Amino acid sequence: MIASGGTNMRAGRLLATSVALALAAAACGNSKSQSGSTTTQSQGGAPQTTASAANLTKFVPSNQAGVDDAKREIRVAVITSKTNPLGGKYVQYTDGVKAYFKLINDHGGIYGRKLVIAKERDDIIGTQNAQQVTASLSDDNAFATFVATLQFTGADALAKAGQPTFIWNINPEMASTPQVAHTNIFGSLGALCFNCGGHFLPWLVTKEHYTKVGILAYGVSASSKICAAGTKKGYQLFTPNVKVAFFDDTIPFSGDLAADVAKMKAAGVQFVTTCMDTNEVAKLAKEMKQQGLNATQNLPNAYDHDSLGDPTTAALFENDFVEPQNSAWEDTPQSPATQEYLTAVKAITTHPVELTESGWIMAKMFVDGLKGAGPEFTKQKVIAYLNSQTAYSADGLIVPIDWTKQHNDPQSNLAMRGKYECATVTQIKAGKFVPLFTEPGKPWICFDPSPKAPIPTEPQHMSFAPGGKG
Amino acid sequence: MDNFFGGLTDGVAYGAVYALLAIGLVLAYKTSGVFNIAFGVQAYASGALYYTLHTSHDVAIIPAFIVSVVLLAPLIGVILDRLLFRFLRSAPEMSRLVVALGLLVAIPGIVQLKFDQTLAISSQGIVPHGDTVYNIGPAVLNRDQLAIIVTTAIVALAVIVLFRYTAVGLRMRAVVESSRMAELNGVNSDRVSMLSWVLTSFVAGLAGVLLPQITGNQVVDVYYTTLVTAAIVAAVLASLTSVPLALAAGIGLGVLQEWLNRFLPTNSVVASNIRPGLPFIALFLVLALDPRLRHRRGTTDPLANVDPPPPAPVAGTRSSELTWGTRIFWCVIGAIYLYYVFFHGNDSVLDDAIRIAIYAIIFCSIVVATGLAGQVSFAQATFAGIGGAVSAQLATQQGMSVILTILIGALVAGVVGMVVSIPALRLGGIFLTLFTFAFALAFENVFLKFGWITGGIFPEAEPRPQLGSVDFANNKSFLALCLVVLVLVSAGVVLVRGGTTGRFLDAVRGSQVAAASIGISATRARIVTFGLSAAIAGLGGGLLTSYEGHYTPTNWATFVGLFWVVIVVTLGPRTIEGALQAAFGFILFAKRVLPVWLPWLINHIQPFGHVGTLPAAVQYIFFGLGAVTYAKHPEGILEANKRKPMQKIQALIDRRRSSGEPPETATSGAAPA
Amino acid sequence: MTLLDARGVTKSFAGITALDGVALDVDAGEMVGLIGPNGAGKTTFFNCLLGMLRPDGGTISFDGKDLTRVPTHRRARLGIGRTFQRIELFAGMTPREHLFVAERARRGDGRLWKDLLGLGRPKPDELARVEETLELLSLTADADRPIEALSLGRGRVVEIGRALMTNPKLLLLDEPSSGLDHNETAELSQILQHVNGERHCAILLVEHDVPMVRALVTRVFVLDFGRLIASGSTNDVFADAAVRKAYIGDVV
Repeated sequence: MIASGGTNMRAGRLLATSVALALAAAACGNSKSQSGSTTTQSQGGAPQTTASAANLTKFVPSNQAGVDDAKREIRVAVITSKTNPLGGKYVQYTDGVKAYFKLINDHGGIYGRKLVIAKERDDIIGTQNAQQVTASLSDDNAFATFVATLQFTGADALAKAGQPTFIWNINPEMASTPQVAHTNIFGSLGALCFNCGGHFLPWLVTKEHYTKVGILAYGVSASSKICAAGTKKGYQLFTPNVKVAFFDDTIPFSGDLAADVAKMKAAGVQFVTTCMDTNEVAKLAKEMKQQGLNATQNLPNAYDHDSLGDPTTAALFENDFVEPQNSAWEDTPQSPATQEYLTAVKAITTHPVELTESGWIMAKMFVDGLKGAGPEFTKQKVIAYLNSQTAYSADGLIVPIDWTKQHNDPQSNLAMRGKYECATVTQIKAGKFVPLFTEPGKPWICFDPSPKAPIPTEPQHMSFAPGGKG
Repeated sequence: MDNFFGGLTDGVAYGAVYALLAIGLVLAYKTSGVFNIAFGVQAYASGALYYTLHTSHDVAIIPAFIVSVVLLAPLIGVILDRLLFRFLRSAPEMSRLVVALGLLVAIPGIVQLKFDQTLAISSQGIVPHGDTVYNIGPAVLNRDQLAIIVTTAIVALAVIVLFRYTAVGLRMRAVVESSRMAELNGVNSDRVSMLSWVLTSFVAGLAGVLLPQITGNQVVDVYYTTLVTAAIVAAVLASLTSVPLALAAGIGLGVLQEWLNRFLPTNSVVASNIRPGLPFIALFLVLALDPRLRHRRGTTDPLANVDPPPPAPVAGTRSSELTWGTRIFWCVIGAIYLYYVFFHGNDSVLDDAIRIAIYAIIFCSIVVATGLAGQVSFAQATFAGIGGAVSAQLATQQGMSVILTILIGALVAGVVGMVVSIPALRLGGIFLTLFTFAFALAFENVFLKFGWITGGIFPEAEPRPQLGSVDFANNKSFLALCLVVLVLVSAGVVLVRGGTTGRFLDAVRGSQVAAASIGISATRARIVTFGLSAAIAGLGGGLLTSYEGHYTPTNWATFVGLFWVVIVVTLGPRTIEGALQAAFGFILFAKRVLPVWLPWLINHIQPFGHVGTLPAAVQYIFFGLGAVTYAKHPEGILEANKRKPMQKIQALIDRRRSSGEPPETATSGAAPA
Repeated sequence: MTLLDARGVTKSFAGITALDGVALDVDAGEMVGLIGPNGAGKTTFFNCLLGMLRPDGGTISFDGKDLTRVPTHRRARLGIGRTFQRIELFAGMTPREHLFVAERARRGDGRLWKDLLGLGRPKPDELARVEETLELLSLTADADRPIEALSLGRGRVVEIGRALMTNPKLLLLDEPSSGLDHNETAELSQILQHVNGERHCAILLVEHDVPMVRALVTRVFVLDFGRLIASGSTNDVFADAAVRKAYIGDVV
């Protein structure tokens, strides 16, 4: 219903950098049926690798496309929106993939082969996605494809080809369609849910004693609008005392926000949630400062250490909340998986962004799939192995995904939501991201995902790392 | 009252942005006769340099300002004048607009080769601590806002003084009217025109560093260009001549927008659809209704006919052997390509071929509008999108036959094209183009938000056509279908070009008054061509939507349509050949030529070093700079470059034929020695 | 029979009266001159006749039809052909093509669907008519050269030919001798006489060149400051002292 109704425009996605939506989805990717049982299932999300350490080095000749036995290589292709006039850093996804491949290759590779990026493609703001995907499938001779693009119109082609595909999941096209199953397409989140009102923000608002909240979203972007509606629904479901005092999902892209801030000030808004990109929230912060509206923002995709390095920006966002997509670097103790990433990525880039870590995680997922498929691996085996995983968490870096379900659109079928509704939260204090609400070794706070479950006073503190630490 | 005053002060600050840009447009138009649609990207160049220096390299405000605004901006002006516009002074207004359009595409490509995108929002502009707030009576303004208001006021005043009270201002206008006439009166028009460009570019540079702090946008070309397109309405209200009017209209637009934001209910169709589209709706209405703009003839140099006549297109000077020879040559090449696609090509080659065929159809619409009718339309992408949306919606919602829906989509696009052309035709030259631009932007901002047009965020999959027992779900049969349509459309275009309509359009383009004197109605001829052109675009839109399986709005964004114009104009807007070449370029250049073919070629012919993948931005530079040659070669670069070899071959044929007689090399008639 | 009948034509611009109750008539097949010094209102009157300007008062009728609300291109179809003072040709076309376009326009046969069905190509009878006019004007030798390569004098002849293709009952010539040298003017006069004799179309000649007017026309109208100061047979008018004073001065 939500999917086809409403006034919307795909192109909007091009404009509204969509991490906001990914986060909205993270906050709502839940199953309705698992209430109460989340704690027991929360441990040990790492893949149950079927291959033993010994046969990870075993070389078995292969005739799979993308496996070059002469050079002893497994080739992958990467497609990113490199040419991107809106300044997105999509191409840095590749750095994460490179870093993880280097780590594996430095330790002797896998099944006697090295992992190589055979081809990097630029889909030019996503407008050439379908073409680049088709070209990659026919020309690149790749065993798997990595994608981080503004649009993902090539999803069907990848699905029809049965290509193992690892994406930065901001694209609604990841989900299977009635015509084509997308069970070969994996992301660091399951299929996105834009309209599920989650527990996290209502809980945060209650915890911080805010009673009047504002919600802002782009009018040009359907997904942004749906995100705003989902957020509103969350407040209405779980926090009857909190008033959505201001709601505007008609903000023109690159327009000014003075009128909105004036209206929020008049309405006494204390806490602002947006479904907009970093640039727009910074503009909002500036305008709030000018008009003397002293409200806290929840920033959807501001986990960017580079821009926080600028003192002006840091001052603008003081006390605002930021939820990283992956477990935060500032967690103490740092999880082993985060340490491994931060160490390895240095070899590739000195300025990793959040997206770089997503590339790393997806490369790790691919390699875990290879490990699970065994020395006689095939594309089908890799896909089948990952799809057998019910709680894949990349050693705790992400919220566990149930790949038996989460290729499907959860908006039309509630049963297809994931088991976990978790977030990891930081607050900006003096130019630093300070983790909030964590217990040592447990970076995630999780909620009972049932729409009927009320918000708890204290959420579950969880870790999805092997051994339950970090 | 709060909203009233708050809206007024914020509106004045925002309006000062529009006003500064509008004054820039007026200044450029008055002093150089160019409707400088590239004004925004000129601003972007200075902005990018300033913020890169100041933010990324910690250069202090004043040196960064000097380098990027005081030095770079005028330098760009000098370069544009010396290398380009100086030679276009007696060119038609439309050619100058196309040249500016080429710059709009090329300059960001050039800037991005050197500079990264920079986040300007949090960093300082040219005012230290720009976010310091002052309360002035009921108004609350920060330093950045005060800076833009003051700058705009100073620029406006300076320009008014320049035009009213100085000899230089008068000379600038004289040079625009007729540089030759001005020179006859002792004006050094080279120097004056360079000064004009320096001045305009300096204003652009100022805007470039000031704007991001007010609008809160990143230093990215699209933001500047979007603001410039919004400011066009203020410039048009000023008839592109009056600086005080441009100032007032810009401020008025800002205030109006701000009041609407504050007084309109936050969540309503009006707010979500009208608010972002306001400047474009306003432009649409002003152009349609303002009687001052009707029948306005572009500035033409009374001494323009001093120039030698343009050479005739190659086809006109070829003998029939040569014509048939080239035709057979192209047919053979085409046949080899198609043989390869159908029998040896992989999916990707097939995908390329289908898209090339579809875009060639769409580009035929530009051949009709620009090549035949001499009109530059910025709304071709919108027409194609309308065709696509209509066919997708009818096929998925009504379950109609896809072949039929594609035809209906083309028909609807054609009717929309005709309806749009009626008010547009009362406008001359660039105002007509601006009208199509306003229509495209208004349509994009207002109508494309309705799910019943686009099919929503997850549009239902549109099936492929079926014709009797032939199912076009198979890509090879779909390609065959596209080729058939392309052949039909090309044949149609050729017949129209050679038929009555084409001749009438040629006549109208040659001289509208003379055409009227023999009973040709320019209006009717143009409405018909606009309709035909829009219908062809719509046909292509329907085919692509069916091929991709759903309506994709980014395929039909207005700015994509501008790039189409640039690429077709570069490669040959008069001929089907040109449309085909443009389609090849559009599909293959960024995908295969730059990353693969060109590096391969370079690495094979030079021993100096390995060249890797060339960035996709190069295509914008390549085609943007290509379009810049439009004024010189209205038939397109490829066509122009074909001339010489063709003449040589022709001379060879002639020599053979006249065996015994002394060889006469220049018999082809096109080369007056 | 009166072909063109203009009565009381008045037009003012911003308070300045450019035409003040001008009356002029041309009979079928007749050659008439309209003379007057610069700024006398000749061009304004001309534009009113063609519908480029709408007069503030007065009537203009042609062949018994009131022209007041008829747009320019329709006046052409009614049978008014014209040439231009500042030559207006179709760039990129040959003289033959100029004439052909005019022939097509005369037939009023510009349906797009006919083009699309391939019915828009030149037909033999059209080409024959073009050929005939080319011969009438001795343009055959230049017929296929690019128009840009022709001299101004030949360009004027092409303009006349283009106008003739529409089968005009009246040909309005706007200072055809301007920019031409003595020989070219003489040649043009000959051609006009020939055309008038062969095609029997009336000609209204707006001209500066007094000898040319005297040689060609039977009747003359003289405008000065927007008013008609004299009209009548050529000889009478040129004998009129007022005319000599106002316009010709002591030149003649």
